[in-house]
Amino acid sequence: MNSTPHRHIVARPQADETPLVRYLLSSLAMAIIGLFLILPLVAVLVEAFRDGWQTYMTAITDRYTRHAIGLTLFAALVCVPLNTLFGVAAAWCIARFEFPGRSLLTTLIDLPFSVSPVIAGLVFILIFGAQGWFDGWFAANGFPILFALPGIVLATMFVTLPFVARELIPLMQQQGAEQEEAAIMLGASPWRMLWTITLPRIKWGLLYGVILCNARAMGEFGAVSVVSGHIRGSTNTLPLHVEILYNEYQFSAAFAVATLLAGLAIVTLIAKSIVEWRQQRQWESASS
Amino acid sequence: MSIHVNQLTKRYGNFTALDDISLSIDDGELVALLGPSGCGKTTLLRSIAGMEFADSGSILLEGRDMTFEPIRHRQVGFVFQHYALFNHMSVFENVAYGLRVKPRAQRPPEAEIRRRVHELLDLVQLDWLARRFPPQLSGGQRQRIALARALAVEPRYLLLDEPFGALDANVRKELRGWLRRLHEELHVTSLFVTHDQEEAMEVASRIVVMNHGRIEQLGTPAKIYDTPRTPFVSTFIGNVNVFRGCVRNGAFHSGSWRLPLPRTLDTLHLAEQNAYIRPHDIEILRGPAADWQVSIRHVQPMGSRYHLEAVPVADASGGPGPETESGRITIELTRQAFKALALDVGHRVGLRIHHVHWFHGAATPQQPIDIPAPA
Ligand SMILES: Nc1ncnc2c1ncn2[C@@H]1O[C@H](COP(=O)(O)OP(=O)(O)OP(=O)(O)O)[C@@H](O)[C@H]1O
Ligand SMILES: [Mg+2]
Repeated sequence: MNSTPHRHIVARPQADETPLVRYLLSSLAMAIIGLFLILPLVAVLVEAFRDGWQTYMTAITDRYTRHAIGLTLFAALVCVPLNTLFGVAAAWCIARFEFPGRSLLTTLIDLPFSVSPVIAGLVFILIFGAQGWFDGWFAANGFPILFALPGIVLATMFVTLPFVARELIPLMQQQGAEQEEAAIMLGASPWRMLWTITLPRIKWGLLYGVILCNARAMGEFGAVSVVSGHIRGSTNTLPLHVEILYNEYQFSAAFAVATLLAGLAIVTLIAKSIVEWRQQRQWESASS
Repeated sequence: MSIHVNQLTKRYGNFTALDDISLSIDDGELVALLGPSGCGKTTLLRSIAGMEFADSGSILLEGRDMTFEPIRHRQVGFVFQHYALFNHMSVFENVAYGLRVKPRAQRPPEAEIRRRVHELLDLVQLDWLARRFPPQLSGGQRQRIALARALAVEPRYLLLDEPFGALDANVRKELRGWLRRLHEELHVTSLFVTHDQEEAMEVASRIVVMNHGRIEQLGTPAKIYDTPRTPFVSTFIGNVNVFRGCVRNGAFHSGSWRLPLPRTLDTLHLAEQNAYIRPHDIEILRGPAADWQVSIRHVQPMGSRYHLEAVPVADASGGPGPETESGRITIELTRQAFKALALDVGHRVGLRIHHVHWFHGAATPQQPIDIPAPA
């Protein structure tokens, strides 16, 4: 790297592009972001308010919308804590212990990422459906799984399973077990160690995983769409509700409800960058 | 508070990390564990602490078999190679940790915890850092905090894994003296790992030398230096010149050179025998009363002492001179002796050997031999 006048600003190695090339490249990047990210967001907002504030409010306070919000929140409320628990436990096992099947477990955790959500939904149909393995046993005994709440929760669980574990495994592997061993050497019980050492050290990574997990749990369409049955006021989550409204030509209402999901995305994005920033700071201070 | 390790063996797969280790440490002793990288020092320490379980053998603490006792029953304080301080807690909380996690019945009241922590921080002379966090400390400070943290629970045994490993030479020196004084004050039975022989000799009352998962020798620093039991110990502790040769007719022969041995060894015959000669057991002479003639190739002042490197010169009969493993002979002189001899590179001088030790076969101990002055 040659010593250009702005060397003190850019610490990274820098290629020798001319200012023109640099300008063109960054304009292109901005254009793509504008086209694919900002424009749709603006379009959603414009469409949502096309028929005025009144229509917007009616759409999002509608009985079915409220029910969809409730259902989405409920599914997230069940899935996120369970997957957090699973993620911490799995990451701990994989990062701290050698056991047969360890690499298999690591691979399996990634499975929901590599399977199309629709396929995931169909698998549940295959298992719990009327012609499935359990041959509708659950439904016959007054506890329907498909086209009901449990199916939605199961499908959401499945697709959001990897988020927390994926985030924590490399983090815990990188941190190593020494501080935990030190705690045990000082007389801490494993439980005490978990709360005073392990969790505080991974908290930002954990929060990051939880935020992503939550965003996906609330926004999941494919798998849930297959198992829910789209029963309005009963098994309709927010994303499904948007689709139904749209298919019924209630465009303004569809976009109004979509703003809720867009809002969730923006909140997630902000929370994510705050956590990323904190995590960065923690890593820097830990490695200094 | 003694530590006994009996025939401990530990394998990772088919790699033997600890091979039949037996070791006794008396109450209140400060023992150094010395050996090259990868020889199993950390593994041994972790086994004694209970963080690693051996495949066979036993560990007795104060005469009680602790081989299968969980860590917390062993009352061992452990200082990790890389400190392992809790980065998310202040220095104060780090030191207090061991007291805070005690079961409710044994946990001291808050005021007592404060008093104890400040006492310990005073002991390591870092009370003024109590509110800082570990990443804001220097390496030497972290090291001392790690020690204070381990001492807080009043362990009966202290295991230190390369306590000064990551520090620069000056800080190491300072902490060494400090560890020694601390040990005199507290008298905790301690075992510390190092791969710095000087450190081991300076701090410990006894040294354990390990290699390839085995104990090569265990003894006081002087004993290990003066009468090494194996070639490995001889070369690992201090510098040594290794001469290839044989013993016959009352003399050690190396190449074309001959070193007369004491009369008592007249009948000794060893077909293949390396002689180990310390650099300071070689005297430089000007004049004929020398055993060997050499030419000085390099002079290295080391403060109070001088290191010289010399190569043998052909003798009168044209023989090649002694055969050393490195092809060179290292000689160590005091500053005064060096000045008195007015030596410089290129000079031809004579050598007189005062002391030799050697090993029959693999590992039979052999008293060092004083070479008699020529008549
Ligand atoms: N978990 C493990 N699995 C396999 N081999 C291991 C494991 N831990 C240690 N070893 C091996 O055991 C040997 C001894 O390791 P150990 O850490 O005790 O060495 P050491 O003497 O402390 O070395 P150093 O001075 O570099 O710290 C090494 O060869 C190492 O590769
Ligand atoms: Mg080690």
